[in-house]
Amino acid sequence: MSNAVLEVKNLHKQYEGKAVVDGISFEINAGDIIGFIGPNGAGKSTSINLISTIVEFDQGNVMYLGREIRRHEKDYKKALGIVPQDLAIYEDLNAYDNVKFFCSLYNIKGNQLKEKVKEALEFVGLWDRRKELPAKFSGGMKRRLNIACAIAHSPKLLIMDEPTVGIDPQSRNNIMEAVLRLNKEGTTIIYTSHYMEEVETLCNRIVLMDKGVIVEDLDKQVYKSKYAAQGLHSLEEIFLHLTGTDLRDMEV
Amino acid sequence: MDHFLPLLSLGLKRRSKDFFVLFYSIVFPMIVILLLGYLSSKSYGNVLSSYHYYAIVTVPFCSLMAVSTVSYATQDEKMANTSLRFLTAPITKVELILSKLFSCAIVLSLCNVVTLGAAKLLFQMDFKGNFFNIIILLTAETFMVSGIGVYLGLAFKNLNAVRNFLNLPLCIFGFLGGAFFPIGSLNPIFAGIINTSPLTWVNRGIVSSIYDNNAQILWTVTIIFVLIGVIFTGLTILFFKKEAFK
Amino acid sequence: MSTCIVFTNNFKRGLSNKVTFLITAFIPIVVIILGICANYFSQPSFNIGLLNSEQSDVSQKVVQSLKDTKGIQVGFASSSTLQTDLITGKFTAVVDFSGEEGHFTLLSSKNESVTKELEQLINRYMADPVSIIDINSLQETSLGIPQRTMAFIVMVLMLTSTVTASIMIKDKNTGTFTRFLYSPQKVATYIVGNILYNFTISYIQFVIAILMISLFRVDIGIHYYNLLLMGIWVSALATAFGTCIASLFKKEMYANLFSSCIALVLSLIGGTFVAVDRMPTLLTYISVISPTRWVIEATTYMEKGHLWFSTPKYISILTLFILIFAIIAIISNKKGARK
Repeated sequence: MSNAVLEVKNLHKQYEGKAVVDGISFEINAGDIIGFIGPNGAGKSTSINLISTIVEFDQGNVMYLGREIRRHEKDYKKALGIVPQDLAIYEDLNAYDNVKFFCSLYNIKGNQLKEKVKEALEFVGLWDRRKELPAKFSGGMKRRLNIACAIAHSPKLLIMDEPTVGIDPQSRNNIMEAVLRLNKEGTTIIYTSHYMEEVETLCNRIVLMDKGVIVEDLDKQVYKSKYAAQGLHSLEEIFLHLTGTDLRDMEV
Repeated sequence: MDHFLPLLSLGLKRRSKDFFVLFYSIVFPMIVILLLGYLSSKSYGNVLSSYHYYAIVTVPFCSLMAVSTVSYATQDEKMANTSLRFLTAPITKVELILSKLFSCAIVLSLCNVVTLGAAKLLFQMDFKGNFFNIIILLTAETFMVSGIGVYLGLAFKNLNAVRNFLNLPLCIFGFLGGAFFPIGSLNPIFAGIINTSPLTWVNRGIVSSIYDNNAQILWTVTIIFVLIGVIFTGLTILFFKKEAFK
Repeated sequence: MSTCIVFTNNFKRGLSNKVTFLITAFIPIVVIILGICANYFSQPSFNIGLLNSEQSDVSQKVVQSLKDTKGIQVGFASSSTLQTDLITGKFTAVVDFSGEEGHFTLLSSKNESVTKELEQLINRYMADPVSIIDINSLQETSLGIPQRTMAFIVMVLMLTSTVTASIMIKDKNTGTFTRFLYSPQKVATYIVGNILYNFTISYIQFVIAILMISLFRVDIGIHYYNLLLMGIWVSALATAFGTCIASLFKKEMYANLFSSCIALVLSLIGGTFVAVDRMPTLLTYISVISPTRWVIEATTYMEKGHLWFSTPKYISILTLFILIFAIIAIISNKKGARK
């Protein structure tokens, strides 16, 4: 019996006759923090959109806890949380109301709602600033609020799409610590980032995607030892070795 | 003013490629002229047809409505997130403001020429040699409208609140100016209210130059519009806020 | 339940800018004043200009008779602005009595029948200046205050509800709509929540408009209970229209400008400025696609003393318009969600 929380099977997606996701398959086990990495235009964002049901795939399947997500979309979405790359918060609502609104969309009400909102804001360190509007927040604080909105409903599976873009090392460190805490509490995480040292620190497994296909899917210990023999010790070196150093002028 | 021409050129390209601006300034006025002209065709006699009347009053009305369009146009860079590049480049605010002003004024004026020219051809309108003068008046109106729009877009604090309701006073001006039907009153109070609309004077200027061979109102209004445009441009330069542009 | 969440959230967002919220709520005051003024200006009446200030005895008596006639105002015209005054509506007609005694010249930019009626009127006063004539029978029907006011209300509510509905465009651009899609909620929940919010705002505006009508003591001949019921459909119509427009465009500017174009055209063909029975035949057929026409007809129907629920005709027609706009909005949002 598979321990997989999420199974992606032979996923395909084409845009204007071009295969953007070309038959990717991987599994995510409970408790994993998967580093989902790849160069620009590799198909990572499209894959995430397919997994999160925002975009429909042409072929293949995605199973959550053994059930097809297309047939059990509502239940799947209740267990899913997404931290989008671009900030998705209401500028005209304070931090508390932002988190409360998005949490309430997951059928959480009353005292339970209040508790979860408080937990989420405390988790990201914004509880004291809950009555303030995001316009007054720094970039790092907005990113943390962005995370709070995604985790308030206690998702079992969390997708974080470059959550540390454009913020200072302190905020980045804070977010990384939060990711580890979430994982300790039982959340399975798919983490995408272009900061290889982040991925190396956080993730127990990497899934490397390039040109619509999965190039490598290995546990941390395995890829470390596999490429060490070739003199590649850091994830960045392995990344560049596998994907090349040419610039990616891909059409979006 | 080294950067004025490239900025102007960019503004002209953006405005002239904006399908919606062209629709709103050419197609929409023609639809209104045809509709209102047809609606009231039975009510007019031999002096002028309903189409002639509505061609005369609709073009200035739609020009005035372009205040909204201009205020949006000034926030192009804000929407496209390129404003920071403008603010950090060695571009003076005068160059920036004037490029916005003239790019909008030129494109909108050309739209007026096209609309009025189309109306002239379609409805066999006889301007009695005043076509060029009327174009100058409409250009002055467009200059004023652009000046006000640029001011709202770049120097006005709470543009979003105002912009949502901007159409209402403009429609009121249009109504008082006779854009929907000829309006007049011998009651001094109502006559005074009617005279508060700039469109009242534009329309009177155009009509008197064509049908009474008297261009005095036309030229007076033209000068006033240019002055108002200059004043608002000056105010914009004075009160230009980087926050509004960023 | 989730719809209520979206509804409440939009209220919180709207109230975060209290000034804008209050202006939105009280715009109907301007509309009512506009409607009353529009009706005053378009009331059957003639402004007659006198070209020559020196009048003979006969013409003086005629002028006095004209002044005494209800619906006619007399003023002095200038030959240098003669055509301008006629065309711009300052004068319906200009009379010149400077010729032979008992003769006059009448100039007008109006059609032949109006000119003839005025000539006949003046001839009758020349023959008998004492008997003042009732000119109502000479004049074509026009929209009454209730019809014109309701038509203006519909037009303005359409514009303001598009502005309110633009919140959806803002959500799409800021990514919060996408975040909504990540949740187990359906797109319809989001749209319905927004519609409910928009409807509430529109109905508040409508109620304020009715309050203004009563404050100004404008007798519109319709019971307030009927008006409030009608207001539900009018507000729903405006809301559905605004939501439809906002769903079709990616930029607030396009939505707002397009809505003003469409609202104006629908008002024109619906009979806001020229009554449907005075339109050319072809346009009377085209006007059936304008909800304004049906609002005006419903107002006329209720002015005769009928109740709002006494006939299903207008309720059905307006409901049909509401459904059409709502369906377009839902389809458009679903397409956008898929993209």
